[in-house]
Amino acid sequence: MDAGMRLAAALALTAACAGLGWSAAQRQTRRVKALEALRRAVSRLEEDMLEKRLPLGEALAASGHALFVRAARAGDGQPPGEALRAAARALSARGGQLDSLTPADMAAIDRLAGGLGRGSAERQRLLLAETAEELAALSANAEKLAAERNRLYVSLGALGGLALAVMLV
Amino acid sequence: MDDEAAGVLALLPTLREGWPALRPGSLREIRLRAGAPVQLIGEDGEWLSESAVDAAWIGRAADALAAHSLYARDEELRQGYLSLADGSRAGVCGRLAAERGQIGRMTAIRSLCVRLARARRGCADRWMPWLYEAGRPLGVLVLSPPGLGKTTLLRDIARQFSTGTAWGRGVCVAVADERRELSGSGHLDLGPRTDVMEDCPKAGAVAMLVRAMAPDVIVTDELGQAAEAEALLEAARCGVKPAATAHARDLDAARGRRTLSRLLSAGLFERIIVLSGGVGRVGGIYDGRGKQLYGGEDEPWTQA
Repeated sequence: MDAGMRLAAALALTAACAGLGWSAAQRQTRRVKALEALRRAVSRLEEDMLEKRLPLGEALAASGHALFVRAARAGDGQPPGEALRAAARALSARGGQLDSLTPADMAAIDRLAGGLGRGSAERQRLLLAETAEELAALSANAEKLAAERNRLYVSLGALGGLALAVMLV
Repeated sequence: MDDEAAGVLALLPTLREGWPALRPGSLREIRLRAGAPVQLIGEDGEWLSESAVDAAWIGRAADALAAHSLYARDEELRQGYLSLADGSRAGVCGRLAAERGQIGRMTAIRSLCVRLARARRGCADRWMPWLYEAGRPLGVLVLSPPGLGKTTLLRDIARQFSTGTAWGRGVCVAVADERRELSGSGHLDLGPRTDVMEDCPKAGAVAMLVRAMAPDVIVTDELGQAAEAEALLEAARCGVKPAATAHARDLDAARGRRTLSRLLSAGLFERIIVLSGGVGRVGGIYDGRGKQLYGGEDEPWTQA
């Protein structure tokens, strides 16, 4: 292999590793967006359920978020908690709308599923407020993490690629 | 098991020993109490579960019966009931918070009594000849203690007034159905010339229906409030005939209730049907002056 080709291969390897780092960093950015969309949907749910007094099925369907819309569709004859958990499982699979969420994020959805549609307006108000608060905290944390890790992952990727290139070339 | 009963029982949390096999169409009430067995009351008798259900089970049952939307049912709960999607009604009992000396929010549900709404098409057939004069419907009041089938009979009278019978042509009927028990949210047949106002307090609904729909007959269930009586009197002044039910064991007991007494004295009801002696059993039919027109022993419609 001549020197030019070696240089090109080293550059390609470095770029590929940097790309992998960038891709890993993007997962954090997608997580922030997913958490923020969920928080907005929970706020909308709170308004529809407790201000407009829509029945739960209608409020879930009107939320505009795939998680709740899917739960509303499955809701006939299935308790809303189970429908929500099933929807969360389906959407968090690889390639799904919620696949960037961490176990801590999924636990927040699980807690919401545990109490949604159970008991009085007071109980629902508390549950939805706590969920929105928890999602906001998770989102803020994820945003901070994303800012830190975006640079870190790309740099690590590039450095790793460079190191591999030096070893191989 | 019949569809209505199966539909309601399927909503409830599972019961350790499962639900019994019942004769189709025979189940009338499901009574659930925290710390007590489940009680099913049917036309063939009652069934008690071997195991008791606890407060958490009752809570889950209430959530399911309210389509997981108890948060939006404060007003119904304040009045002690929950409307079910199929038109059935669950009476609710538990702990109520007082707010400035008035009945406030229900903070804990301890008992539920589900009364299944069921159309008994034709259950009024035998009584329809008494309910017309010169081909026009008369004002009708159905009286009985709770659980003898007032609403079922009124629903079929409304349907037949609307459809028309051998004794009179079909007329426009308007139903003030505050708790959706008469119409079952559209699941139960009230005839082709019937308009239904759901969820609205009866007095307001009667006034609106008279103004908006110009009915010949106005139908409403469980009269009891002075405002409802006033609305029916106003409707009668507009030439609209009432068909209604009220809780009273007989005509004398009805006269002892201020609201009913006022309506009876005003001659609003030209026929009073009293159910007594069992579900679906007509014990007597009276005219507006209290003269008995029928007092025989009939077979209840539940045996038909």
